[in-house]
Amino acid sequence: MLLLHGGDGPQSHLPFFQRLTEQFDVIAPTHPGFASSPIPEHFDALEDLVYLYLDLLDALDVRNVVLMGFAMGGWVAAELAVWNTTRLAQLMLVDAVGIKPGDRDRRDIADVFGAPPPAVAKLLFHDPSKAPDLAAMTDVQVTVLAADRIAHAMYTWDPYMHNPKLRYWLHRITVPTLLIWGASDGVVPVAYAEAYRAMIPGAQLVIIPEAGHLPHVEQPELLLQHVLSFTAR
Amino acid sequence: MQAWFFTEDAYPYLPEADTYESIRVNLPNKYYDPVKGADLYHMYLDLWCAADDMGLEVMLNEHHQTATCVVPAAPILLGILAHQTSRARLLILGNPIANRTQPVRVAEEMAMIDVISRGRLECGFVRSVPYEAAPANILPFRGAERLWEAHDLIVKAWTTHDGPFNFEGR
Repeated sequence: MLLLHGGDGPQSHLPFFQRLTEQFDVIAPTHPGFASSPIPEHFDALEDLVYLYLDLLDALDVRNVVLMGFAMGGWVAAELAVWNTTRLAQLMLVDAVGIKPGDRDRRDIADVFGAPPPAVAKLLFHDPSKAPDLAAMTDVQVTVLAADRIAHAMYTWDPYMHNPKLRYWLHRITVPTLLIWGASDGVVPVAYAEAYRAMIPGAQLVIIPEAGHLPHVEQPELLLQHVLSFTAR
Repeated sequence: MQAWFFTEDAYPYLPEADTYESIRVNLPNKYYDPVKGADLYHMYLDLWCAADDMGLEVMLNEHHQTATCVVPAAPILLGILAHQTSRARLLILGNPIANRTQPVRVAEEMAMIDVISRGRLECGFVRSVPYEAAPANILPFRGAERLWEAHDLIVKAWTTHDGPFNFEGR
């Protein structure tokens, strides 16, 4: 499994990730810029990640890969599958961004960079009390978080969280695809997931109750069940 | 009836015509004397102010990389006239918004001029002429669509009064 994290950063510290590694050989790269990693000078767009992970799959020479992407990482996963599915067995998109189904005057994806932290917590979490408490963090932790945010913004700023052309390319995805969505996702609501599903041939959508944009944090066991059920097919 | 005063703001102090290839786009700026240029700007500004005194309305335009019109930023001259004139309508015809990468900035400039002049701005938009694609380094293809999209964003910025709005154009 190739796991591509979202704007919330690497997941290796989460119980969900530990449970995954019991079932899969998980390749979980950290996007350059996250977790205090440097950003290569030529990087300035999401497609830099797409080519990075196409190269990674080639370098590892892996086959039958389950590609699973979260939020921004789901966008990377969708783009990667558009480019080349020959190394992929299945694709899973968890609360992914990457498309813009509505017109220019409608906001399809909530502005997580412009909204104040309490408002963002409500967008991200079914239970906002589970949001990380900035006041309780050390200076080092906040510094890492700020750098994560810079990298997140660099990859997704403009066009905001999407590639206007992706919707015209998604038909190229020929591997079985499952979209997994938090019922309470306030960043990209379930209606967005429905639009995404309709653009990928044969894709299915499952909804996780009592989860927001980060079901790997709020409902790890339910998420894991969907992953195991889909990959067992 | 309204009568409008307009001047193209040419720079006339060019060398012999056979010493350069074109008056537009690739005319080297070594032929521009900034001292004479300053005098010219002052003269043109005086003319517009005189027009205002005489009861005429005034119109400004802009062009780029051409000695036929040394106003590459009409909003800047308008900003001066917004304060230095007192009654004339101030027409810009116009902002070449297909060549401006940030329409919201244009909306801000025009709103500011309208406020300074106490509501005397007449704001026009143009696509610009073909030879201005090079100075702006803008692909001319779909210029008309870009103009209208910029127009829609500017109008939305001017007319939305209840806080931030969404606009994710092409």
